[in-house]
Amino acid sequence: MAHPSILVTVLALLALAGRAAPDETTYYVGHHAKYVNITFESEADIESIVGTTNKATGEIKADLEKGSGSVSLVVPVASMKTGIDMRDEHLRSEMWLNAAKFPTITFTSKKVEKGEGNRLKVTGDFSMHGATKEVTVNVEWKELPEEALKKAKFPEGKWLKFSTQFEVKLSDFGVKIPEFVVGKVNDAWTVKMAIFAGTSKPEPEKK
Amino acid sequence: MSRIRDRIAKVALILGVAGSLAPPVAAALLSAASGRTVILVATPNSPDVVEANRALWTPGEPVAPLYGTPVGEPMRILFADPTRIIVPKEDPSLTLYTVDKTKAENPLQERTMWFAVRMTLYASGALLAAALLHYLWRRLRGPQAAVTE
Repeated sequence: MAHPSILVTVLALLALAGRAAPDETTYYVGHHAKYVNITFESEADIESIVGTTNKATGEIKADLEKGSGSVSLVVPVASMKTGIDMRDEHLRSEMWLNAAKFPTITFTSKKVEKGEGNRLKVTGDFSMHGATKEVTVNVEWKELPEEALKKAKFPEGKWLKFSTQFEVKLSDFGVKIPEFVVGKVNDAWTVKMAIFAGTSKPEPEKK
Repeated sequence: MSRIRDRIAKVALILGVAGSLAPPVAAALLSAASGRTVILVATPNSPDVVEANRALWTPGEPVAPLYGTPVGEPMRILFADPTRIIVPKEDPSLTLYTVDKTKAENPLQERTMWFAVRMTLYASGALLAAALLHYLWRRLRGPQAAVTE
């Protein structure tokens, strides 16, 4: 029979496993649309398409010194705009991202490592259109100085800016480019993200 | 019947020549008169976010991201709205042009105009070729027709 002290230790470790590590700070995403800037670009022979969204919610738990933590982000497909209403409708349709069936694009990290300087190497599951693929992105972070926070009237707390850029291939997520738009839409899209995340919890959205 | 064909060939020749010359000249003039090379900045940042970005910026870093997300390479646009142009104090050699995609804003790109010009040139070239083939055919068939008559 196991010694009672070992059982206590095991139970204590199991209880701690679900929480953020003691040195990790939780930064919340989604306080206001102006703090989220995500663009997605397709550069094809005939046309360049640029889309954006300012809606993302999630949490970034990080110990920036150690380079550990976790990331979870959710972007609603319905919030993505490309500048032409009809094209946005197509984007949400069954032919493309099928927003009715798959209303969100999500990223959930599996591993966070320290990169060079103010960089983190984040590996995780990127899910879109009902498919999931593991991706690794380099994220740069910068801490906003107290003075700048006051001047720019940010909400209370500590604030960081996270920036990253990566590529998403539509074909990896089961999205097929229809024949009639070949040459106008690229399979590979460049995604750029600049997100301010703060330690204060965002207020729930008013309905 | 041949008269009708001749008339059609004449119209095709005129349209072909006009279509091959006028659009490129007009496009070049339009480009010179109202074209401007800019870096598009999608979803411009609000003034307080620009302020926060400035606090994080150090000389040598890219300037355009302070104001929004720069997209693509510098490009020429037509009929630029002066209120959307930003010449950043951090690098006055840059010209940024803000477009808010959430408000369905799409500036007219010069390459779109040149794409239309190219399409017109293809169509004009086809008309011109058809007209020239017709005249060639007439010329070759002319003496033969005279012999048979």
